[in-house]
Amino acid sequence: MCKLYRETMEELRAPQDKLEEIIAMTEKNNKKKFSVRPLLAAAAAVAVLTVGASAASLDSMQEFIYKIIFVHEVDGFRTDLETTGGNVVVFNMSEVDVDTVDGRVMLSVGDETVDITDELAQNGVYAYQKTLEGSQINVSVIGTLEQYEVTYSMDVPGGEGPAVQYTVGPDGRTEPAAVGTPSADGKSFTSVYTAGEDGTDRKEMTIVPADGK
Amino acid sequence: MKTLEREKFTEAVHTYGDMVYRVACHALRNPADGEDVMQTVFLKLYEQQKPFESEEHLKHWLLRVAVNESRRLIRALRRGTLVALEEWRDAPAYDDPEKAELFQAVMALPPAYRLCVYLYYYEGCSVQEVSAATGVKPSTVQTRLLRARERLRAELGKEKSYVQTVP
Repeated sequence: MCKLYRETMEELRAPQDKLEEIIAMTEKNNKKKFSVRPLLAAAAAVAVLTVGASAASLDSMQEFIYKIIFVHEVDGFRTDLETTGGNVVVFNMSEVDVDTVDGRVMLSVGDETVDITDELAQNGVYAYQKTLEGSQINVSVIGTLEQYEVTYSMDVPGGEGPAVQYTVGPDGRTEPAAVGTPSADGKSFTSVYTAGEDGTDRKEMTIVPADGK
Repeated sequence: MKTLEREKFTEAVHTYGDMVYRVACHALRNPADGEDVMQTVFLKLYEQQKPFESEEHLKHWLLRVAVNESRRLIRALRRGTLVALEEWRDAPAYDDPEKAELFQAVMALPPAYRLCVYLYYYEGCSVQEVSAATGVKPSTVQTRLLRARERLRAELGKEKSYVQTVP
């Protein structure tokens, strides 16, 4: 069966045009312009984003359609976009996950995985913070091994970005919900803000997929 | 980027493109997602600053990044932010029915088993190397390989055992 397996998988080949596309992109100028989808797929964004921006009041909403010109992945959690509407910073909230696997409660933050079972069982709480050059991630897990509440946020170092919360229990996990700074429509929770020259100018925005779901 | 480095990058894409694609497909069971992961992995290689000590070092670095990037996409799928394709579309068209059957049986295994099977049986990685690429203990790798073999034997042996019991 091993020989047959090797022969079978030998026929599973990467599309040649995709390989050439990868090479061609790096042979252009040194600007790192790659297909948007791989970098934003996990952030549930598409090439054309419909952005709902909150102005002085949550009652007044103005929608913009941005086209992404340039993508710069700052680190595993933050991607800076140059768009037709200005510079936008996107945090990939899906890089954080807490779930029970084979009876162990596992915290995943990017490539890092931490078994928090013992500490959660003993203290009823687990707190985590990770600071990178462009991002700060805060995670707290409160509860028991059978049912616990996960709250996490991402922002620039020192920032206090909106948090996301969900519960894992015997019936599965609840849908993530924004806490702290809910959007006007209550359904978008990805934190995005425009960056000024020094990265400190900030305007709260929410991103929804172009299909509105 | 210097010409030589670009040449090395191009060579790496041609040499390891299939390998990265197969790892991603084994993890995600979807060729479109496999292509996306492949692109992301080589983007990371393109941006990699530290030189590799050897060809083996490069290969195992690519394996580890491919596994990690596949997992990121799986997490995104789990959150419902992307629609998971339940069926394997655009599978290779195998002329040999035995190969077609084996491909489907392997792709029906749990993702963790599929990855271990691919890395061990196709890429020839040792248990330790599979452990390093996937981030699980060597004993867990061995357990997954054992269970994968059991499942494949049971799945692929079903029809044959039925035939054997017919007098």
